[in-house]
Amino acid sequence: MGEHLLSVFVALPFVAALLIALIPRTSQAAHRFVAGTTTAAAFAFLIGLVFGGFDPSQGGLQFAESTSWIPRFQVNWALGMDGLALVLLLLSALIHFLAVIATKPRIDGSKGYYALLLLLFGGVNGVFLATDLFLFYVFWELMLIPMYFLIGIWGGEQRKRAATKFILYTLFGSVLMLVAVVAVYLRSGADGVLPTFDIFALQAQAAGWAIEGGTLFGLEWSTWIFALFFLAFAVKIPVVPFHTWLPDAHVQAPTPISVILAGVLLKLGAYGMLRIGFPLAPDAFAELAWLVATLGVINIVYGAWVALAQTDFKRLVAYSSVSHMGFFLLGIAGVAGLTQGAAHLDAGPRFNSIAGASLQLVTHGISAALMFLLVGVVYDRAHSRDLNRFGGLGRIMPKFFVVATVGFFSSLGLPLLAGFVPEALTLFGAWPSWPLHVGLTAFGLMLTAIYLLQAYRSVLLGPTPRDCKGYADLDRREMAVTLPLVVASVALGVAPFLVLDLLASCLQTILRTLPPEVLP
Amino acid sequence: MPTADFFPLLLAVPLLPLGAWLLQVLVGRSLPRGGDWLPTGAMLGAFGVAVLLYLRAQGLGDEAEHFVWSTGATGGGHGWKWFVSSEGLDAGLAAFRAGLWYDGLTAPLLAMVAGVSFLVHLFSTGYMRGNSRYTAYFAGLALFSFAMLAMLVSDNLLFVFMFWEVMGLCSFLLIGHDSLDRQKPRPRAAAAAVKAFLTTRVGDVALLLGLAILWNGFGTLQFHELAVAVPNLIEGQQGWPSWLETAGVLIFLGAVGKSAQFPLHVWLPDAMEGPTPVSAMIHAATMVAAGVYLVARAFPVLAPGVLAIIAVVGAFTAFFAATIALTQDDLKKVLAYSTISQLGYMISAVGLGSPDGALFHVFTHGLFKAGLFLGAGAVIHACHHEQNLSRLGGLRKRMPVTYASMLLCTAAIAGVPFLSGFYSKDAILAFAAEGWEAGAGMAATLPLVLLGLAAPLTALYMFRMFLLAFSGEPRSDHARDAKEVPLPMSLPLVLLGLGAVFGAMLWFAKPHPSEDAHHLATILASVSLVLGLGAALLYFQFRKRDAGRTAAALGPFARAARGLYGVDGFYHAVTVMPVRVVARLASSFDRRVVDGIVHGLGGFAVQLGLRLRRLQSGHIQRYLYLTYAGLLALTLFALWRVS
Repeated sequence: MGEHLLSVFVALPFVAALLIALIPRTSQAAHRFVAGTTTAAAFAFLIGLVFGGFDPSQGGLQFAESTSWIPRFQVNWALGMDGLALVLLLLSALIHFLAVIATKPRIDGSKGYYALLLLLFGGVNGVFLATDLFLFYVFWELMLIPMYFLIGIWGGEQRKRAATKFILYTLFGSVLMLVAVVAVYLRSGADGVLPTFDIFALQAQAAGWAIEGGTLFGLEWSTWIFALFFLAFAVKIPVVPFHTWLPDAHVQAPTPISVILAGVLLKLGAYGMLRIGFPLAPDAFAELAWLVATLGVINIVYGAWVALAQTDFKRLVAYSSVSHMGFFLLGIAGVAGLTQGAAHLDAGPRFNSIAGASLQLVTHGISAALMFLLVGVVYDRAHSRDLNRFGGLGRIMPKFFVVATVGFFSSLGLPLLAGFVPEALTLFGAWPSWPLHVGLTAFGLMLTAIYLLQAYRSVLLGPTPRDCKGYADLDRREMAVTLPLVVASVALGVAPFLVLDLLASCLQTILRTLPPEVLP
Repeated sequence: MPTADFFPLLLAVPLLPLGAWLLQVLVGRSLPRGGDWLPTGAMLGAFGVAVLLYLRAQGLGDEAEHFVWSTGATGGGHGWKWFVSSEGLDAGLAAFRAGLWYDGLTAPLLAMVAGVSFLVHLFSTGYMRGNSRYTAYFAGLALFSFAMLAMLVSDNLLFVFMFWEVMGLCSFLLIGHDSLDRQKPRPRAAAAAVKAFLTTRVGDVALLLGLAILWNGFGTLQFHELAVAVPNLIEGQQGWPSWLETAGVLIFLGAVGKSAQFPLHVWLPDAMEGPTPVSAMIHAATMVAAGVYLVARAFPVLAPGVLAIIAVVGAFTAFFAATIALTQDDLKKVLAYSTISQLGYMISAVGLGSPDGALFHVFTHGLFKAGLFLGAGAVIHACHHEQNLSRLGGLRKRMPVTYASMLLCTAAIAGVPFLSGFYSKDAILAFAAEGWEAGAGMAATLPLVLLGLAAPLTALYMFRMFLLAFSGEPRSDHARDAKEVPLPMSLPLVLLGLGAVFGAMLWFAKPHPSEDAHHLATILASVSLVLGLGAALLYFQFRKRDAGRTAAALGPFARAARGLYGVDGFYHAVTVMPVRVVARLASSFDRRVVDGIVHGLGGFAVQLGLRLRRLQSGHIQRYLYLTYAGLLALTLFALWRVS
């Protein structure tokens, strides 16, 4: 089993989903138990790896394995784990586990629900661990389908419409990705050698493609590759203007699915960019970094501004996700800008920038999950998400008040909570390359505070309207779901090195695949 | 060199209230008395430790002014890595390390903050009794104290920023405390809390950018390393680079927000919505002092041009706020504007080149302003929440302890010789005089003129407030029935009254302005005091004018000052409204245009599919017809390409 550790890990949720399929339809508790145990076991396994087994000082892959799968096309079942993958897997396992707990003990069709949730979990694990581009694509597609059903069956009133929009949008992205995948595969074989899907072998070759790539419709070959991958992943992150599926999907999705969507699924697009999109077209990325930075700032400012006008609590949180994911783009762009005035720190800002971008994935996962849980708590009581209808919940729900305060201020980027460090790292790191962009981001930070405090005030402070008077405080299940996220937020705010230590070497390795600077 | 137990003890000062906060949140409500003794006791402990450390520093004798004990500089390891861990990786990656810092400025400030926080806690056990969220209140207070103390022992600007933001959260929660009251929630408290957070946030965001510039320029944010790196850079470049000037302005903007300087002063008077002991906390020991502390610590990176701006902004704020204080009828509002004005003095002192002088005034002001606010709290408590000066009066006989304490504190802030406030304010005026003698032009003259004008106004508005509250006859039943407050509330008043008298003696780093300037300042201060106190006595004591008539006597000026010179309204018009309007536009753009295009494309695809479907009609003739048409088109295309 030793050399197939990751295969077993990836297979586990699929086996568990099969197991649920065998359990009778009426044994709801059993479905829930299997899903809960599987996700908890996955989380425990990963924590075990952190304390022993995984060596954070190594930048490369660990526990790597590879078996030929489709020999005709050199497709391998190839898995491997590095710091970035491990951190995101930890986040994913935690979020999926909490999503199981956050699901109400009695729901219609629990068999399908939990089985799909586990399929989704397995697909996500596969995406994070695949080191074969074809396999990556397979897992990528695999995870979209459970999500479609989870929104389309267990969602709100307009669930079908939202699910269709979600699947069409993401399939649009997938098609572009497929074209790019096939293109780099063929390109890797163009020099008379055997073509390959191995992501790291492709990365090593990619620097060479830039020089003799040729053009297509007047654009550099590598520009096409970059554009296709970027668009494919941009839909998922989401990058403005490809973001409108997100608020619709969130509003219709049930709370636990929203939590997974914001906490994990948005990160997959970012992961794809870090691992595949940028390293496979490094020179095009360097040339277009200004565009990535600009889109990042648009995400931050535009997302925050639209959030400010929302009266639907859940839409507001959805747009806040759009805004926060902009920091990822800005941080990534900070890696490939002009370095000016700080020659002695050349590597410093680049590292800060990519570290900020990566850490943002984790911290946003935590804060956004917490925020969607808060929305769920309010919705369960009020059956409404209209911010104008609540007020004064802080007076009558003291536990909720504490949890919500952590959630809101973590999202706002208050120091000593999770959101601050990645934002500061990103701004610090991106400054030498994109001072103007960083300056505009400041405006977004201001707007973020405005919309969050506005919502905070209308939910928690002031007098309580009469129909809210009877609301009960958080029950034990709600506490069990929110507390781990509260603790995680504080832990990452106080001790960011817990995650940064795992990431550092791996990010160094990724940095080496990206060009140091663009010369004018 | 500090002894081995020094840094653990230093760390204990902020950790004690932090521990108390944690316990208070987790189990406070099930403890007897709502657990109020827990943070209060922890603060007493923190104060004890801070005094112990202070005495050690004092034991250094003449060295006490100059020593620095820091984990970064004096071999207690090199601080703790916090931000980016990068050992063994590529050279040049600067890991962010945080450490502890203790010097001749920290020593008295730390003891003062811990002491005042403790007294505020003690006072609150009386003032807040019976409050529906008693435990939550003490939790907020403890966290507030923790953040301020932690800021004072941090050795770098980033940690100063972080704890300062935490203070922002605490002030938000405490100002908004009454909006969560279980019996009678006050919506206005919520509005004030949001306003305070957002207004200071403007400065915070600017400050964060300033730190980003510094970090990229020097690779460090540690005080000690910056103080070395900046002169080296200036020498190498023979001048201040523009990026460093930009950073200086941005850092100063942070202080403008937090220390409520013009034009970001608008949040502080609204913050009076919080319970009165919280005001004492915000105005004396924490929060607003943080802004001054920041610019004082960042002093080495501030270019001369930036310092000139700082001096003028501070001096203008000192004068501007003093004129408003003169026209306020609310006891707490007078004190709020007086804080803004005094902060102006401190900020100006940094700009005039004397960060030590600024922190000296932070120290003495902390003592007497805490006394004033707690005294105001005692009055409000005794008079059933009556805080309008026109309905107070005659409290001298009814509340003798409060009266005595308030008198000492008022005298101290007004600059009566040999009280603490006299020394610190005198020093600032002396530096302004020195700058005026040395320099030329507006930048050199303005601070002295504005600070000089603010001095008599300070004496005037403070004694106006004092006389209206305590002398004459009671002007309402509430004031008539007032009784002295109980011991937990009066004891802090007595101690702070003593502090207002003797506080200046506890400060190590006495500022040293030149002889001439000092004389000029002393004359200026004395004349100001006589003028201000004389006017107040004449008008309010002997002619027994009440508050309302002051305004009438001052005419249009008073109306403008009472309307706060329209600053609040202006902000509402140019910031709040446009932000809302743009938000609504952005939202509808998002729905109609961005999403509209998506749906349009989707609809187009569906329509296209419906149209194309008609081709699949099943008529063989039509298929053949189309095939021939296609063949023809291809042939034509091929012929065209060949020719």
